[in-house]
Amino acid sequence: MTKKKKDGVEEVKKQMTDIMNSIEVENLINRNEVIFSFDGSQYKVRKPSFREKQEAFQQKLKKYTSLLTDDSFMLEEALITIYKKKGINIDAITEKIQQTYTDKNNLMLKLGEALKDSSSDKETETYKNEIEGLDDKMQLLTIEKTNLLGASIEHQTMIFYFTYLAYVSTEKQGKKDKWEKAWKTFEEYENSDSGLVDKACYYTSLIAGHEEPVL
Amino acid sequence: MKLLEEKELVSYMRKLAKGYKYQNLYNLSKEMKLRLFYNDRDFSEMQIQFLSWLNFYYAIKWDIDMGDIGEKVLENFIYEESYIYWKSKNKGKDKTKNERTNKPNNEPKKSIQWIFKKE
Repeated sequence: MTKKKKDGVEEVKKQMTDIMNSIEVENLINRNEVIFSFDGSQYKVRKPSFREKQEAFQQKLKKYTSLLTDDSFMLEEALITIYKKKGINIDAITEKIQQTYTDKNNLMLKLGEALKDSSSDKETETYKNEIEGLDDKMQLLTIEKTNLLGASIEHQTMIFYFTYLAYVSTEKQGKKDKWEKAWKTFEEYENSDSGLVDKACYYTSLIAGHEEPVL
Repeated sequence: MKLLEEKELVSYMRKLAKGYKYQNLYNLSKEMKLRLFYNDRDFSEMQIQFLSWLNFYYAIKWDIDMGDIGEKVLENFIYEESYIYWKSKNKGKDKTKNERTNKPNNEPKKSIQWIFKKE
């Protein structure tokens, strides 16, 4: 196959993937559910009901209390103090994130004005590139902060909440195509294939978003 | 569906919200009773985010139609966000036709912070 033809095939493939993804995202938005295959079975993650969210929240409270009494876990504030003693300043990272955010907003104002004034492509493109640079910087700083505070009780209970929501809102297609709970118990869920659990958690976080009750 | 990165997912949502189909539906839903989703209440965070993007693009397209801004603004996401941000900060200073007709100008949340991401 010539290079030109090969490039053409790749381009069509890319466009097809793009269309398929777009249809799937549209479906996800419209129906609030995702159906996926894993290990030869069909699974469905749907929007959790109010009762299921209440159940997950109760479990989250239990988890929070149990972590509070466990000396190997710390609240975010205590963790920040320990990091400080070791020379890692989380507050400084937070300040850097805020400063970058302010810088970005200032550039966005300039770019917005430039667009309104029909300024040259060169000017608007320069602003755009600078904003992209700040976005990358902000993303790296946020990842750094999240990684450092990942062990905190607050973070762990948040993860637990979504993990539990995934457990209650994932279904498996059974006999006669009937959807039934994917796992009978939370223990069974915890011991199942991590690939399946990861997928269920990922889709749950997409569907449930920020619907986590605040402690 | 393959596991999409947060950025990719938001990008698909924005493209859908910007497109003719949903802009038209959104516009019509203001005049008549139309359902954009299978559910008509208890919207998920993702649906709220999508509605917010619909409103965002509706505001930009309205301004383009009114001649307040050129079509160049739709070239990329950063142009779009910057224009709406600039506009929200300049309310009253330079009244656009959009504001004179009390059209919506809500800046959507930048993104949903997904808890679990693609590995």
